[in-house]
Amino acid sequence: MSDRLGGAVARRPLHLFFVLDVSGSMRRGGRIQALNNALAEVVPHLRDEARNNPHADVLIRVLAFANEAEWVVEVPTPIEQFRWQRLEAVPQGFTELGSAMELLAEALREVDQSHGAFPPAIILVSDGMPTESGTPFADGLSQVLATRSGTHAVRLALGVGRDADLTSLRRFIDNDDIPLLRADSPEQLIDYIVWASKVASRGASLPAVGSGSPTYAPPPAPMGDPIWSTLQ
Amino acid sequence: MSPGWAATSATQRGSLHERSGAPNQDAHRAGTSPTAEFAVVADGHGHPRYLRSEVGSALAASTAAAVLPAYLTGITHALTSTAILDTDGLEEALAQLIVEQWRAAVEQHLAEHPLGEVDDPVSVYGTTLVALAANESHLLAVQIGDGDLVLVTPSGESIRPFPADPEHDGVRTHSLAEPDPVAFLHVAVIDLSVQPVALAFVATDGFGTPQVERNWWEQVGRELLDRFASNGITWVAAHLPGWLTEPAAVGGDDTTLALLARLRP
Repeated sequence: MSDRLGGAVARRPLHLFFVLDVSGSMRRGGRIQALNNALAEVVPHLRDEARNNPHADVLIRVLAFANEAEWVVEVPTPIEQFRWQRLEAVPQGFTELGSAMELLAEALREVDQSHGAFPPAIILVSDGMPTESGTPFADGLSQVLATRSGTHAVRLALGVGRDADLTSLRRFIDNDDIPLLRADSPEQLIDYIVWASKVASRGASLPAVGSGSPTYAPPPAPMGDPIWSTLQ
Repeated sequence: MSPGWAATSATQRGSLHERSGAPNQDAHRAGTSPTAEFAVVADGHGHPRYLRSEVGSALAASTAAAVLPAYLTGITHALTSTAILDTDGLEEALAQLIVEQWRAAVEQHLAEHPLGEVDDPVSVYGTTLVALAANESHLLAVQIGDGDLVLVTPSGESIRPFPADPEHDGVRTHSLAEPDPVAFLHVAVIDLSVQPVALAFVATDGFGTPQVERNWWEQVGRELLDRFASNGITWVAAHLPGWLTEPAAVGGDDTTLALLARLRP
């Protein structure tokens, strides 16, 4: 007789989504290079977090948006196998954040159907005001929040430079306990993305319903000169 | 007089807790009173904010082990002697009794072991509770928070008497320590002449969450019934800790299961 009770067991998936702005404005001041450097740097940090969190199987997906939204990494990829592929900003590209939300909602509906997954984590990075040649931002966000996974997700947002639409990013976070960060230099962007990724990958240790809100340790103190806020 | 059931329970500390040095925050009780058998599990919340959750879960388990058999005896008498009875009222009264007794136990512990400045000291004892008690004629089922409660019929069909709570997303859960726990404490009184039950089990989410199959609880119910029928409760009790080892190691969470098996279906 088998010494197992029931069927197979496995680690629980923790889906981590990066939703990244590659609009034309990201070409200014080395923003897209800084974003690429930040994501390349965050991978080893995420691997360390995953090793310290053995009950979670951290799976990465990357979604980029400019004139349209498209998956850069569509298949949920274990962090141990994940390799960052550098992104290019789209010249004169718009900021179709609503379309990105719509595509994200499709993926979250799939997560809703899975068994035993941790609430996902979503990290949104944008430097501008959402354009609406496609799906309006409000509609796309509504689709995300209509999913069970979207509602319970740890949603983090980073604004890049002074033109980032902090109002939209705050609506995306929709949690006063989570700080909305704005990076004004490549150093800050790296620090903030590393911080956000650690927070996201620790989503499994959030407290229970009914006894107050979770606490999020603040990110590290800003470093570097605020070069992006002074650029035109 | 034996109430006609056998009970056993076991737990395994989760691999994540072993690695971090955290204690096993689950608690369990299985046994008999003069008139009913009981099987209880409780899962103290894992977040560091709940710094006495292993005490909270132990108090929840001992509270349920004391309250449920006595309450079952009382309502069995009422149910068999009265044609019309407000079972909803009985269930709500039990929910309130459990919460009151657990809070009283927590407050006594606080008095004996004071905390420093904490806004809501009861909350640091946060825990779930999933419990069963049964006698010859009725079975009581109680649940607040995540975890699983499964009834297995004599033919091996598994039943979950409570609906899945969409707020239990694998991280967040309802709790005995939340402001209005009675509203989220499910209670069911099952007449065994109407719904025969051969075996019932309760488990903390450390057991169910890492299961790959969505309907894992059906297979587990069948297997437990088969193994009990073939080998008896002593054999099941001896093997149960081993069956919890893999979920605790792979899933990482503390893993606890308690069961009641009917001796004379």
